[in-house]
Amino acid sequence: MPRDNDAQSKLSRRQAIASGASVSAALLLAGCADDPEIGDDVTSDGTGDGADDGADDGPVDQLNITQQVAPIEWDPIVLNDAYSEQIIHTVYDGLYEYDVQTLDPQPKIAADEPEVERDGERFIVPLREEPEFHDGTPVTAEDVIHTFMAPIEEQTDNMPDVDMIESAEAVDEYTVQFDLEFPYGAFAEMTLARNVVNAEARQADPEAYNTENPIGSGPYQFDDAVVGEFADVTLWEDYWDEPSEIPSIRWEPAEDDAGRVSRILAQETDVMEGIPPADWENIENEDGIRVESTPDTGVFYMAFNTNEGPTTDPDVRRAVAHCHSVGAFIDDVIGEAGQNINYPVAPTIADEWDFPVDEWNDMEYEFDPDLAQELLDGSDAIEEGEELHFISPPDDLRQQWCELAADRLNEIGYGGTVERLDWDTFTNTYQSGDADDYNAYTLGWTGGADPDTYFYNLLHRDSEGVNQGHFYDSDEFHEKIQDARRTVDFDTRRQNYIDVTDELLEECVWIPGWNTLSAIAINESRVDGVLPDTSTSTTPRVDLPSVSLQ
Amino acid sequence: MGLLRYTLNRVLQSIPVMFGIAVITFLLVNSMPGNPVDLMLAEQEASPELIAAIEARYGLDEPLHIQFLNYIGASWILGTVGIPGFTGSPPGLLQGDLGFSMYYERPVSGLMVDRLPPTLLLMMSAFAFAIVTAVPLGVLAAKRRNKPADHVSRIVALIGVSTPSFWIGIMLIILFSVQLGWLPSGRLVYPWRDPSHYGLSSQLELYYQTVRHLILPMVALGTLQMATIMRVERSSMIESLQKEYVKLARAYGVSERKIVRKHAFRPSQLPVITLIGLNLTSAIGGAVLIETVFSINGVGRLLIQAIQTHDYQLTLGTTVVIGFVFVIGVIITDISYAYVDPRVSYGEES
Repeated sequence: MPRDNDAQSKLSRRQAIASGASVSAALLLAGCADDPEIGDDVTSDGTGDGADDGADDGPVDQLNITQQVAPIEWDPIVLNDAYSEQIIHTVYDGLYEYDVQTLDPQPKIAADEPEVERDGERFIVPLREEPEFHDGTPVTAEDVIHTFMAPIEEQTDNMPDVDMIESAEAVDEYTVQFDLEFPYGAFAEMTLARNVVNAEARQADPEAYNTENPIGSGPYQFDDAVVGEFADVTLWEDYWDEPSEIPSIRWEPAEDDAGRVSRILAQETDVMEGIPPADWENIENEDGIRVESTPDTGVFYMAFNTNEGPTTDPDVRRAVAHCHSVGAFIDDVIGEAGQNINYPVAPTIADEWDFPVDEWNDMEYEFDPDLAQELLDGSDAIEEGEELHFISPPDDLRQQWCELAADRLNEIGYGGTVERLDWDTFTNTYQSGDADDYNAYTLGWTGGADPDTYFYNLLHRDSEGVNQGHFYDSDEFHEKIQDARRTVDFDTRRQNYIDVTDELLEECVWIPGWNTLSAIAINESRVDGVLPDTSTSTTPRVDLPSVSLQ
Repeated sequence: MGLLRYTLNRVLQSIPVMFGIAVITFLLVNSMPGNPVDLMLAEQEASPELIAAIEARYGLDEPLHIQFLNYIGASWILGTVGIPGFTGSPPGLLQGDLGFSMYYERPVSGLMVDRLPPTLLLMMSAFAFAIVTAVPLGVLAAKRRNKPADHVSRIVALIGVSTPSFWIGIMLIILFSVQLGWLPSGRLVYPWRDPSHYGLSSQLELYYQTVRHLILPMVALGTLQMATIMRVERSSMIESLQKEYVKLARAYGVSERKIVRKHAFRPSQLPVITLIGLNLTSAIGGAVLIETVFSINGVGRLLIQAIQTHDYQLTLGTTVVIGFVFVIGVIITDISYAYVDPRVSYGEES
């Protein structure tokens, strides 16, 4: 047997290694084990006693919400993303705020509807006297004026939203008068629904106001946040309006679809927004989880290049529409996460404006490959076997729509190529109007509470090279959109929008696709009364008095 | 050459490397198609005046070479010594300023301070997991070469190397979080934060939750490292066990356990250390995916966001910091050679 001179030291090293291994194993086992002691006072997320008991880390009186994108900033003057707005709308009150279901603006800081003078060039807004900011100062006309004029004076990203305002002045401490450069039809519906900031606090330190210490007059006070990780708000006890029932709210982002869905399936969060279409059914069928949805303001469409190439001929465009079925595509691919529409505005807006949606839906180009082939054969703009070039942004659904149309064209003796581009390249490409770049493109748009946000931004000549790449050339078409924009007369505006939509469909400048649903998944054992809003930027609505924790 | 001098030399040598990283990244970032201002305005109908104002705010209206001088802080130095045209230039990289993020509207250094600790926690724990599992398994496989234990460890290594870490992560979440409910599916609980932030009442509970939240991402990120380290450990140990001095030790009747521990193990660790040193920093690529899957607020997610939003200064800042970490990793690796193998010196013999 070999001699061992090192027995003593070997033993101690072994012991050390064994101890280390034991500690590691214990940590691993401890990690996987339940701990009822912690579970009692932790929360309901699975941090404490497994994932079965509800929400996540944090106190039991805290509502946990999972967002699909991380919010980044807190100052309404500069913030320009829906996910920051989701948080900020609980911290600030708007001058007007949209009804949860109808998108109808309701007075909030404003005391009443605006008084319209000078044929829509002047709006006078009376303010309530009760609202106070979280620092105890009253909300006055000066705060409202700063809210609307700061984006122009500071040239922030939000300037285009308010740059029709020529001037704003205080008639008295609680009345504001806006004078516009032109009568803007959507001013009351769109522009006035902005969160009111605390002018004095913001001007004292704009950077801190945006990153650390936003002061609003809403039902919740901003508490703490680490960008990309969490944002906390707590109930403001002295809120002037009807208070919420939830003591505190924590938002946490989970950008990966699988990770986000896992969190709600494991019931580690109370509310999740951003349900991936492919997971909709799984989530809905899970015990203890409820899906709530409402049509949002998004519309998805395919637009043709009418500037150059084969798609300048309306028959070629109609042939593309006839050669595939958009309705079947939506049923198969999007399922319950969207609904087929044949008009260029969100259904909520169409409903509010009483647009003839049934007639428009009847105008949908039916799936008829024979007719499509006949139209193409009869067109001088396209040669037999010629291919159309479709481009899509980096989004699977829109890419698949392009692929479907291209495949169907191949089947009837013509052809199609599909190119998926990154966002920047895509936006630069579809704005060129060059037939070598594209013949058709698929895109989506999140509009707002007024049809102008769709018609002007997506269809009008002024938006060519910005949001509009179809370059449709019809003076009457564009004049009607412009006239509707520059009047406050509802009947004129409505009729113009109907005429424009009729022409859009008849000439097949666009193939309208679908409207998505604003949806949230709710952990039923923890929370009640939370609703999705028609707008992504205010979904979920947690600031309502009806919301409660179980 | 002493350790201190050697380290200093290596640090000095890394300066041109860092400068090269800054130059290449700057050129690559600026050659990306598209414009950050377009993305920032989110397809709004913006006037040319507004676009010009935003470009001027972030210095994007300057020629490319001036933008680079501004970024590295050379303009600030030129301005300080009174060169006309550069007075009033902002500080830059040379002054320790990593720039200002257009997307987050915050200083890049502040964002890095927030994001680096979670990434380091994740990577260190993943490597601890990888080393603790891979080294014993590699030694075992070498000792029992071509026996069942060796076959099993090789299969495990093959699976580990060929399976994407994000897929492992998703599978772990489905199994341990959704199906079994044993472990949380995402995020980290940070041991440096106050327990009350997580609704906990003591530091001990905080550590316990830290471990629970760390297990799945640690295993997901560490599996690939574990597999690669195990393969290298095994082959290195096999090579060492076939050396002449090992055969001589056997002939002298030294026990097999002692041969492995005293004669074969230490020299076998050189390639393993090299691998760990290099993988430490290249693992940031894996961390990007794991941080996304597990919603961890780390540097990887920050870099992805910076690239997606064309946030030039944030992309540059993140890349430079990652490059810096890489250089430090390489220096530490070199230094640890001499500790493991006394034949390695820090320079010329005295």
